[in-house]
Order: sequence, then C-alpha cells, then structure tokens
Amino acid sequence: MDLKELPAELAHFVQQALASGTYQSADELVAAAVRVLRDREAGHKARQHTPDAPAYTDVLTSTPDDLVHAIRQALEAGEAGRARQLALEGAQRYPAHAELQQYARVLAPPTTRVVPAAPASRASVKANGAWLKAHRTAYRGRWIALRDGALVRAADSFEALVADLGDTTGLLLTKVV
Amino acid sequence: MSLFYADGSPFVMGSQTHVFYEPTPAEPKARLVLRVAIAGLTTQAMVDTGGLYLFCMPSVARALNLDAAQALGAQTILFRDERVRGTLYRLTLTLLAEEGEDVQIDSTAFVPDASYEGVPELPSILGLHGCLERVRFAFDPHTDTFYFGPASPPW
Repeated sequence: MDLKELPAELAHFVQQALASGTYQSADELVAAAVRVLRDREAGHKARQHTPDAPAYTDVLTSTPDDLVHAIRQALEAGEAGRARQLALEGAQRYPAHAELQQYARVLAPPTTRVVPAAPASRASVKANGAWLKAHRTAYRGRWIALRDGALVRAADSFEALVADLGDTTGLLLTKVV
Repeated sequence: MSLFYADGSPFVMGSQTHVFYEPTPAEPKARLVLRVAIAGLTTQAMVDTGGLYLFCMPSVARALNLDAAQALGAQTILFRDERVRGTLYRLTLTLLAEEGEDVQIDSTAFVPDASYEGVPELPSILGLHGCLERVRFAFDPHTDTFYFGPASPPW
C-alpha cells in the first residue's frame, strides 16, 4: 500500500500505528480498520431497525448539542448506562460546555464513604424501625413523624405533617407502607 | 459487624434490622424498606435492584429546598416501563446504621414532577444504577437484617 494515496492526517496515523509495532504492515492495519468500520456500520444499522432505539452517536464527531440530545434520548429509552457514557465522554471532549459538564456531574457513578454514627443515632434508627414494623398496619398510607421510636404526629399528607412541626431535626418523616 | 472475610477484614460497615415488609392485601409485593437520610432529611426508602437512581418522592424533595441551579430539569426517564417527567439532581443519601457506621452515597437522584406524586403508594426508591451500584449489601431473612458498606473498603 502506498501511504501517499491517503490523506496526510490518515497517513500520519498509519505511520504512527506501524511504528508502535502492533501491526506488521500497512495492509494489516488497514484491514483491521475496515473490520472496525464494518462492525460499527453493522451496529448502526441494527440499531436503526429497532423501534425507539436512539441512533448511534459518535462522541468524536458530534457537536455538544448533538450529545445533549443523545443523552436525553438515552434516558428516555431507559439506556441509563449509555446516557452516563455519553455524558462523561462528552464532558471530557467539550470541557467548556456547561450543560455537558452538568450531565457528567449528575450522571457520574455514585461514590461512597463511611461516616461514624453516634450511639444516640444508632439507638434512634433501631427504635424507629421497631415502631414502624409494629404499627405498619394501623398507620398504612398515612404520613408520620417519629422521634427515637415515639410517634410525634400523623397526618394525611407530607405538607400537613410538617406544617406546625418547626424544626424537623432528629425526626423521621415518612409515609407508612 | 458479623460479616467478615477470611482475613478478618469486614465485608460491610453498618446494618439495620426491621427492614423486611411482608406483602399485604394493599401492597402485594414484599419490600426491603430502609431508614435513610436524603440530603439530611431522615425518611424511609425501599430497595429496588431493578430500579434506577435514587427516586425521590416530590413531597420529600420539596422539603429539601433543592438548588435548581444544580439540577437538570425537564427530563424524561423510563421508570417501570413508563415515561416519567422530572428533574435530575446529585444528592447525598445516607444509609443509617443501628450497628456499625453510616454509609454516605453521592448518587444520581430523580424527582418526578408533582403530577406523579402519589401514583406509586411507596416511599422513595433506592435503585441499583446510579445509587446502590457501588454499595456492598446483603440481607439476612433469618434476623431481618440489612448489611451495607462501601464497595471500595476504607480499611
């Protein structure tokens, strides 16, 4: 294969790939590239045949607005993993695009950390659990406020429950199920 | 904690009991319902390993006075095969321990629009994707105990 027949940018890429030693010849490299393109095209066509499936979006060739649109489509189609991937890759490609950065921040994988629990908090969690289990039937469907395993108030809505409670610190507020 | 690896390191960091809710005529599915804090507000939320994100009920979200500037509004997600409109946030969820330590999760949260309120007669929901996916958890039906800890151990 004569690399001079290729566009300069592509020829440079081929030369670099050959220099890395992964491929023995330009022919081998181009054959591998064609396989990748065929697979991608096949995947694209398969997606097109699926009703409601979002079209394939290539982060490298898409505009920021295309990516935002694709993220929203993925969310609507139930493809949460795809939405996250597009958001993270899009935010990396367009670091100045505020909306993509926001999607990446909100959809990023969760992070966890351990926080020491105070003895009083542990006791309250336990007492509230016992109360809820014991009174589930009697209060089903109602909103309740509990403090350390004791009922503070019950109401028919969350708004009614908290209307006159004032400071809700230390209270468990929940609908009984 | 009573769950350990063979080398003595803990599998989880905290636990709580009284979490298994038997099916009833009004609620025909068994549930694991946990006591949690959502952005500091203590409430209940049920585990849904087929679910998505922290699905926060609108009434609870209103009490949190969430910052709209940090939100992604007017989103539609597929929830239980139904398209639901609402707002996406990044919220701190705390699994509260009655033994051991609490675990905080910085998670994706979805708050449905007010029109969705009351459609599922349920508390908020802890989905796997975007919420529990980085949490180790286990349930012992014999003792009605839910164990939890971070997927990346702090020890």
